[in-house]
Amino acid sequence: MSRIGVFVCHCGENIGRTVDCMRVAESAKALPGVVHSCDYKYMCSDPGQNMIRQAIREQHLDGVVVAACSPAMHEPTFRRATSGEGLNPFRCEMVNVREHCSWVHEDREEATRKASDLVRMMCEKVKRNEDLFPIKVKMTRRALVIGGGIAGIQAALDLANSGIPVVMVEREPSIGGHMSQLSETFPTLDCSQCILTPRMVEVAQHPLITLHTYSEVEGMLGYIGNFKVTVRKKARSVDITKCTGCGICQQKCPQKKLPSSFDAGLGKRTAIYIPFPQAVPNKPVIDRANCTYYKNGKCAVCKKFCGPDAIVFDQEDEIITEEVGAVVLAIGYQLYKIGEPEAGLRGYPEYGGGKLADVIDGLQFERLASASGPTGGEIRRPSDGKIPKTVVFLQCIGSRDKSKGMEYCSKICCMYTAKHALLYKHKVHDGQATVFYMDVRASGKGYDEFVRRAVEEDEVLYLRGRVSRMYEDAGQIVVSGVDTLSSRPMEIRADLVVLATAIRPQPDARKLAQHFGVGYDHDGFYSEAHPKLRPVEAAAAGIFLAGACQGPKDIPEAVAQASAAASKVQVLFSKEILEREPIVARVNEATCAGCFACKEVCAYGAVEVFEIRDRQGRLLRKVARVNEGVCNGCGTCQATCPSKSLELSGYTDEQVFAQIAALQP
Amino acid sequence: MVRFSYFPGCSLHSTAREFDESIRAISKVLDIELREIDDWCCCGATPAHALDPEAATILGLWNLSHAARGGDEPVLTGCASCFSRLRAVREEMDAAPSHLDGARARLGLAEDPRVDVIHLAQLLARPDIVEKIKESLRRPLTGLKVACYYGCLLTRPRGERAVDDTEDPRILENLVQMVGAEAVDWPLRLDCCGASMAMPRPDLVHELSGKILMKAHERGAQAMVVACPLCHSNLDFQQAAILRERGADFKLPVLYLSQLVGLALGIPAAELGIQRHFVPVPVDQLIPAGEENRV
Amino acid sequence: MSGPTAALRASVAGVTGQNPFRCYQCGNCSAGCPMAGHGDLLPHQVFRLLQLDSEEPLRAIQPWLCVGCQTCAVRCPQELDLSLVMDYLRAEALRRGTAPPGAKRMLHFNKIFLERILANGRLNEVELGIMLNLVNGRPLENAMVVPSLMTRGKFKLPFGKKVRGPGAAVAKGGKP
Repeated sequence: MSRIGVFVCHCGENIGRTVDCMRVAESAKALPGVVHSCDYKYMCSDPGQNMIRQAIREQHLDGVVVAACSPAMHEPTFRRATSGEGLNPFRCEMVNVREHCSWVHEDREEATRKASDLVRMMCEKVKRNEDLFPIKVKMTRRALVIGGGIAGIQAALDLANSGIPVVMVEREPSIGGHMSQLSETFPTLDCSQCILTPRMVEVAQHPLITLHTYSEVEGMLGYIGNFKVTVRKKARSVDITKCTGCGICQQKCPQKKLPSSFDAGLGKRTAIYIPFPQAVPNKPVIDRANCTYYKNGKCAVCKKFCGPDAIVFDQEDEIITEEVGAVVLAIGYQLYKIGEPEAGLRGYPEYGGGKLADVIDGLQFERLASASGPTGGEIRRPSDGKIPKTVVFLQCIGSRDKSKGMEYCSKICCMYTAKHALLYKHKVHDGQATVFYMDVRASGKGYDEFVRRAVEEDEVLYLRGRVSRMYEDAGQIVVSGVDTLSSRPMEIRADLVVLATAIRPQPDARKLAQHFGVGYDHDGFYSEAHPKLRPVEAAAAGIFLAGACQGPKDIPEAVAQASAAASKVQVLFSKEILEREPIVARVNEATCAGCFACKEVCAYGAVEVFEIRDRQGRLLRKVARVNEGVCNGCGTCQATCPSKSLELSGYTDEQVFAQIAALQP
Repeated sequence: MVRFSYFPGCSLHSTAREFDESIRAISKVLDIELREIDDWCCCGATPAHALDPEAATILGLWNLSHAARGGDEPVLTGCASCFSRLRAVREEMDAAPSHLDGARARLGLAEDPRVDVIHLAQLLARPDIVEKIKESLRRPLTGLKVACYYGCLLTRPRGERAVDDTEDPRILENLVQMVGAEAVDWPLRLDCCGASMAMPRPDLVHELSGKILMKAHERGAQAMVVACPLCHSNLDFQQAAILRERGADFKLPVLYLSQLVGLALGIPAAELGIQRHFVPVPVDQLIPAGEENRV
Repeated sequence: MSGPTAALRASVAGVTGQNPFRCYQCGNCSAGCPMAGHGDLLPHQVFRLLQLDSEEPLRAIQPWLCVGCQTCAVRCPQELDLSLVMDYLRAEALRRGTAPPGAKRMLHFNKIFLERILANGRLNEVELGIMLNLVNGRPLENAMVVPSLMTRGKFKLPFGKKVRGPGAAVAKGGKP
């Protein structure tokens, strides 16, 4: 005979105001199998929990029913109290009489009756509860970092330095990300590459880091602690074990006019190329789509001149599988393009729609300002190479703009625009820099002071207002804006216009997220498990987020997030074994007919085919078997199985039908 | 033969007569039948919606219901403002603002007259009409540099009230190229000419239309093409005074798009009402001779 | 704030469906307005005053300079239709009689134009011109153009067809 304890919580006024908790506790006393029933103001408090423990101890309870808030809030609390008294925690169940009762009803009589019914139902279930024990899963103590920008680099180094082997996958031929394209970083004006490249080299040389560049993740199977990730190592057409990085292939390549994406389209590169001099690895790649050899079989000059004979024209993509226990997504961002907006966004035809050569974006300005850029660090107009005397900067291009489809603020543009204006004034002393802004968001350390410096010392003119349109006229760009502070329309003839375009997720961010079961928001940025308290974890177990892929942010924030994500991985790997909730499906192999309908409907791929063989090895039948490490306890298989051979521990048919039967009058 | 209910609008019966004449002339050649709506009234233009949105709705409902009485052909109009107002009323039939029911009731209408409304520019861009134009081309406007001026209401607001993309329309440029002329690249084709300020504040029209004329000329335009009688008036009727004020000594002929197409179809200038313009249009100097196509 | 002034902001929002608080004063409208700089207020300032519960927009010239070119509406990042608000402010200023002297010519033009089309159905520009001149106290304004209009066949006397139905329908609603 069961010995169940019922504990009804008032939750202050939350439940008690609508539900008569004393009456619910009273009515529970009369239920068969209930030997103890009481109510209390705050069951989750220490005294409340002690009441439960005392009752378990003194009344020898074998089941606990707590009528209170949602299990999502306090199930762990009450289960901990239960197991603290030596009773299996899965014999403790919660009845939600708050969100499901007192918060949605007004009539006290009806609510109280409903609460009593819910308690009765749960008592019948708990009578059929069994002891359940966490499922132990082995973990692969190895981490995957996707993305080789500053966030990925930081996470990889933190992990590797703590002794955890890391695999890093980077799509571009070199790691470094957008930070390697920057000239100087705000507010210190550090040379970006100078502070970044030592880290890049550290990654390449670290004994615990395996670096796959020019590679992409194509798929993922498995679950936390046991991921199997498919990576496509794209063919560089170069054997990097032989290549010495001497660069002669680049010098000799006759195709010299291809747009360089590292130079944001402002510079040129060859068909066989190393993206930038400090690239890691410092090995070239052949752009097959534009290489003469691949297009019509001619040339092959690079092969002719390559000393170590490292050119391999027929090299193929290599597909590999990496087994890891945790994944850090750090794929970064791309910039919104006013002439080629993504589907669902609007462009800016009123600013020339990307067709005006002297209207550029922030990364392009960085390349102009960069000493290793296409103009050797001189600010020059893309159209005619002349030095601009009037430069106009526009903030919020795409960002904060409902009509373009991006309502969010991109966070870093106010700071980098001030930096750009400042750098321009330092290089062109007699130049005029004007910024059209709506607000100036400069909230980091030294940030506001930095903007004030641009305004007060470098005489950058800040006009508060937007620009309605711009057009090219006689070699200049006519900019039609307004200064709302003085209420004056402002038309400026600029030599160069720099747009602070919105930060966007990478083009393949959604696809990658879908491989890993990671959610993303309306704008495409990866969703964290909780916006306030869990910023570097995805809701999917074992997947962590770092850097701009989770939302626009500057370098210090990206680095901080990366270290945080690494520490989460370290917490995960601090235990030898991973424990999972035992709410999993189990197959009764005696009655299983082997139809595998369950396998069809399982969203997690947890159902496997098991062959029952006799002693001679002859196949007798095939039955379904559930991998406890993968099963998420959704119960779909149980509902589907025609022979009722599948049961979900903790939610068996017997338990559920008992609850329903308890409702009958 | 395609049929339309034709809504000329007030100006086309008076100061913009040539727009009406040229629309009728090209319709004959292009096998388009126009049935002028019986008892049409003013679309309301700017003043109605500016002062009394309910009156604006009533005017629109009146016109569309009279169009519907004659048949279910779409309503064709040449005036950008009439097009905008008639479409606005059509949009109200879906958006159902609070005054719509009352407006309908006062006109004694049982239901909304959901007739389609199309602007001349859209009609001339329709594939079947494009075919007809190409077949009927008698005097290609080879070598003529034309600045296409859209004004405000052809492409704003977005959606059903726009004949093409709001910020980068090509419908007039395509038309110009189709008839053999060259569309000039110039930046003020969407800027306002001053519109209804013509009578109350001509100085503003002078400023705005002046900028437009100067820029078009600067970019090499030999003529301008428009699709709105008010724009035409501001740019043609006012041109002499505007350019005199600026000390400019050029003349920029301003043609309606129906006149541009009409010339290319070989219709004599007189039948297109070109002699009614204030700024002379030296047709034979601007375009090479071709075949004639009298209507 | 409450009282008679708060009613303007609320009625603007209620009638036009445009919430003045959505405006974040970026000035894009003012940057593109062809009339910017010619009036007493810029378009974005009109919205600011509405946000501040002021009735000044009803006494300003700016709404009367608006020709409904829609440049503001198609470029507003917050997708506000300012032209609808300007329409409403004009109608309200007319109702309350608060339009300033500087708006007289625009007010007369719009008012007489509307009266004429409600009376006759179709606008006759000659008639409009004559009545405007009288109201503005400038009987000979634009008189010089009459001959050139006549020779071009553009001078139409106001004896054409009258369509009285719409005006009658409008009058049923109790309007003049």
